[in-house]
Amino acid sequence: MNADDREAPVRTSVVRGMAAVARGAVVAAAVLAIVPGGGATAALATDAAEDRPADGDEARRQQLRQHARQIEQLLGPALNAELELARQACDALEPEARRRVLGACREGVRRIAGEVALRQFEGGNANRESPRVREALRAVVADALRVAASPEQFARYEAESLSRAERRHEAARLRLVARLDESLSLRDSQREAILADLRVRWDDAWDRLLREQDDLMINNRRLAPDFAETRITPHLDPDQLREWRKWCQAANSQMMRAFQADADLQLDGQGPAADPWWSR
Amino acid sequence: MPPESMTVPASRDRARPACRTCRPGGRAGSTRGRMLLAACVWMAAATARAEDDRLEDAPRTGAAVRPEQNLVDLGQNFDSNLFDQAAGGWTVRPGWQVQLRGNLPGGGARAVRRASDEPESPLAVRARQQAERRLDRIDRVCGLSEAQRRTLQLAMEAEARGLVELVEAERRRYADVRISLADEAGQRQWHRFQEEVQRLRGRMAGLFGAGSLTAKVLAVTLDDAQRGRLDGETRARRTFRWRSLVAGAMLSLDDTLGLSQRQHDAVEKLLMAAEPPLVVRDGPGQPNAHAERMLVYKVLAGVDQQALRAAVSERQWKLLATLAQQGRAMESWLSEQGLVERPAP
Repeated sequence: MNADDREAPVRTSVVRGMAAVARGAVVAAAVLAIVPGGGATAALATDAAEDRPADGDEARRQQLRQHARQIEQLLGPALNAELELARQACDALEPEARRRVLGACREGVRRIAGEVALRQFEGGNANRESPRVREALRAVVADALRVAASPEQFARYEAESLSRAERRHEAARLRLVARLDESLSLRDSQREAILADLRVRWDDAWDRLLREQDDLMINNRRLAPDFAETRITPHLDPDQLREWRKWCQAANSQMMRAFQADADLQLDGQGPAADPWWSR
Repeated sequence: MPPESMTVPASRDRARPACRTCRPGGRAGSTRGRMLLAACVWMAAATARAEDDRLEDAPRTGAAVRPEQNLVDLGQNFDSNLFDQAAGGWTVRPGWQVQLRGNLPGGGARAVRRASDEPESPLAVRARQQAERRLDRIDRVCGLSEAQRRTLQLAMEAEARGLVELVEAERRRYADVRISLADEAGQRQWHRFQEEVQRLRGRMAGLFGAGSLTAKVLAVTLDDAQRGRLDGETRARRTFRWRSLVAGAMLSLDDTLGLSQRQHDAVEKLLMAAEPPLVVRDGPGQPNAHAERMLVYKVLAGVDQQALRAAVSERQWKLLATLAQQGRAMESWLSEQGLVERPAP
C-alpha cells in the first residue's frame, strides 16, 4: 500500500464531512432566517431548504421532517396542558377568538418542533443554547392570547402565569434547602432563614440549574448548590461550614458544566386530552 | 487450516467416512490408487472446510448451547442486585471481612481487634458513618451525657454488625451458585434470590430507623425533655422534606395538567395533610427523583378522591387519576427505596 492509497479514505471522509456541513448549513440557515420572526413554521423552514438544489440530500430532509412531526406529536399533550390553564383564565373567550388561539398555537408548536428536530439532527451542538421547549410553548400561548383575548382576560392569564413561575421558584428553593439539609443537618431555624434569604435574592436561572443537577452525583455526592453560596454560608455554624467547604471541593456545580443536559427536551408526552371547547 | 473449535472435530468426523469409501480397492501403493486417495483427501478436506464455515457462521441455537447462555452466577450478581439499585449510596465488594470497632458491653470503651489483616468491609464503614452522623444529630438536639452517648453507640454498633453479618452470610450462601434461567427450577431459584435481595434492601433501608434496636434503646435512654426535643426536630425535618417533595411533584403536575393557582393550592393542601412518615436521612443520599415523585403520586391515591376530583377539571382529573394509580401500583417498589419508615416488624 503506497502513501496515496493510505490517504485516499481520509480525503474521502473529509470531502463527505464538508458536504454534510454544507448541507447542514443550508438547512440551519433556512430555519434561522425564519425562526427569529416567529411567524413561519418549521415545515416552511424545511421546505425552504428543500427548494434549494444544493446537493439533493432528500433522504436527510425527509428524516428531518418526519422527526419534526414526531416531536410535534410529543408536544401536543403539553400544548393541551397550557391551553387548560388558558381556558381557566379566559373562560369567556368568544368562539372565533378561541379558534384563532388554537390555530396560532398549532402553528407555534410546528415551529418549535422544527427547531428541536434540527438541533437534534445537528447532534446537540454544545455552543448553541438548547431550546427551552416549555418556555417556548408558553410564549406561543401567551402571544396568541395577547392578540385574541380582551385585556382583562389576558391580564388574568398573565397573573396565573406569574403565579406558576413563582411556584416554580419556590419549589426550586425548597429542593435546594432540602439538599442542604441532607448533607449538613440544618436546624429548623436555619432552614427557614436560608429559605427567606433565597426568596429575597433569587436568580431565576437557578431553577433550571437545580433541575439539571437533580439526578447528578460527582465523587459519590450530589452537587453542592454553590452558586447560591452567599445566601447559604451566613446561616451555617462552624461545623456545618467545614462540611460545606468539603462538599464544595468534592462536588461543586462547575464540575457538571460539561454534562449539562437538555432538560427541557425531556418531555414525557403526558397531558390532558384535547379540549374541543377551543375549536367550537 | 480450520480453527480449533468444537465444530471442527464434528466436521472431521463427518469427513472420515468419505475417505473410507474412497479408499482404493486395488493393491496399496498403486499410482492410480494414490491419485484417487489424494483426490479423496482433497475433496474431503474441502468438504470439511465448507462444513466448518457453515457451522461457524450459523447462529448457535442448538440445545447444547442455549442453556449456557442462560446461566446466571448468583454470587456474582449478589452485589449488583443488592447495592447498585438501592438508594442510599451503599457500596460493597465481595471478599471483605466484617470488622467492627467501638464500645463493647462489659469492656467500656475499647476497640475490637481485627481478626485478620484484611481491610474493613465498606458496608461496615458506611453503616458506622451513618451511625456517627445520627449520633451527632441526636447529641446536638438533646445534649447527651457521656453515658447516654455510649449506650447509643453500643446499640448502633450492634445493629450495624447485625446487618453486615447478615449480608455477608447471604453473600457466602450464593457464592459459586450458578442457575439456568432456561429451566423452571432455575427460574424459581432466581425468584427466591430476588426475594432475598429485597428483604436485605429492606433491612438496609431500616437501619437505625423505626422499630430498630437503636430506636428501642433510644426510647429508654433519653429523658422526657430530650425525647420531646428530638421528636420535634425529627417532625420538623420530615415535614420540610415532604414539603420539598410535594413542591417538586406539583411542578410536574403544573406542567402536565396546566393547574391554576387555586387548583394547585387545593391539591397541595390535600397532599400536605397526608404526610407519610418519611425517613429522616443523616447524611447525603443518592438522588432518586423518580421514586420521590412516585411516592407523592401514591399518597395522592390515598387522599379524599372526591375533594381531589372537585379541585380539577374533568380532563385534568382523567390524567390525575391515572398518575395516582401509577403511584399506587409502585407501592412495593417504593417500599424498597428507603423513603418511608417501615412499620416495626
